[in-house]
Amino acid sequence: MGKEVLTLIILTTTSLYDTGFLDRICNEFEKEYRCKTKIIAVGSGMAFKLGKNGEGDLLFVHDVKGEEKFIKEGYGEKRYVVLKNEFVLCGPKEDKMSLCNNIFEAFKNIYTKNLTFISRDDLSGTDVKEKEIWEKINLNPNGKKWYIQTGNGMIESLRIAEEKNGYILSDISTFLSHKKEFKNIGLILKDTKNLENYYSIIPISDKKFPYVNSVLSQKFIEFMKSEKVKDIVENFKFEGKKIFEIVE
Amino acid sequence: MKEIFIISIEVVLISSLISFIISFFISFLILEKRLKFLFVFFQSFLFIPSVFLGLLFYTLFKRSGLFGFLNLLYTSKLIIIGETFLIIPLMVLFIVNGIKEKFYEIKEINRVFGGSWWENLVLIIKECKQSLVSSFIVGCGRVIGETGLAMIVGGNIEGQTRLFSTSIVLFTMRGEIEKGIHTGIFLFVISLILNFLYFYFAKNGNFFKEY
Repeated sequence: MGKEVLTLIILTTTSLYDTGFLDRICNEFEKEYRCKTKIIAVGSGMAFKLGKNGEGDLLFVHDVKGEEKFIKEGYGEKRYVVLKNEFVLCGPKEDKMSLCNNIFEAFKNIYTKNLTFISRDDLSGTDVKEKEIWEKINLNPNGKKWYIQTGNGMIESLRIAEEKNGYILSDISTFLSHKKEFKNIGLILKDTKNLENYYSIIPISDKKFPYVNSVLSQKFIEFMKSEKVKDIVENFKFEGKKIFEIVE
Repeated sequence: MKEIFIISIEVVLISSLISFIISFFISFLILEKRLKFLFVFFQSFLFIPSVFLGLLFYTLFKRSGLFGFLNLLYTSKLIIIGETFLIIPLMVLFIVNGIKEKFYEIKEINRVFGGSWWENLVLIIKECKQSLVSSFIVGCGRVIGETGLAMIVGGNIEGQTRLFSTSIVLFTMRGEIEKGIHTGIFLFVISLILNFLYFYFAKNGNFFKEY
């Protein structure tokens, strides 16, 4: 038998994968460290579940509350915030939102005017963020006729918003990478202050699961801070816009 | 859960029924005119993945698509249409194989007695009831378990296009594995009950006779 090649299993959310970003990072990582990577791209909810079953070596997700819970329950020791971008409100181009200054006003506006809103309802990072906003303004859209719960991924839900002329909260990366598809919906509101989106890595605890490859996980985190990754992030653009930013 | 149940049953029954009627006439045509080519043609369709069919329907029915003006995308109507097309080849295969042995026999008898083509048809339905119902059940089973097409053209929208199968997809996405498994078991129990009811009420006394 030849030399055994180590494999790093990454449990991640669809937004990093669908944009093609993670593939590019992993290709470089594989070259540099002579190992293999396996990307399992699921909703954040499922990613946490798989992590809790020890099905991977690290989590690469964007749901702060879920991450903190994950660590509190002892499945990981530390979260490393490595990337950020933002969520945006997308919706019909004939805009009914021009007077809104922030996302809370926009959501209130949607609620009071009964505007069609598409919710993913799949417990992904984006979905959790959306529910957080509804909670913060003390309104409950569940059961309302205009509140459409898709139970589908980000791209699919954006497509549904396109068809139904609805508003939707999306991470900016998925929206921009598929913008060409959309004729009816566009970017309606940016609210960087309230809609920051942090992607972090949690190596899965090798105390809980002894077979987890924590050495390679640490290398991956180091690699995320390297010049090479900075280079990839700088050049990873859709429609001339940078999609991710490195968090120092 | 109640809505999922109603929508699922609606999709399964309507698409299986429409598909059954269409498939029956296609099978009749194949046997009557001995169109082996058409049979092989339909059989080849069995190899088409349902997601591909879903994608095809998506491109045709999205707003900028050919049939976009019908506003059918993300409705249960389009799931029904899609599933109907999906199971026609399956049903044709089962119906043709189920009735072909008796078909020419019955046709000959009918000819001798001078019956019309309509009487021929009724005789075949009467004589091959068991094969036909089995074909129908196979179609229902295929639709109940189908996810690829239903996800794409239906969108898994709660209370509108969420079915048993797609709700299991959602539970999996959310990491709610127990709920997904419970739904699956529930679905299986329902199909068990329905199938046993069918065999009980159909009084298939001669079920094993031919074996």
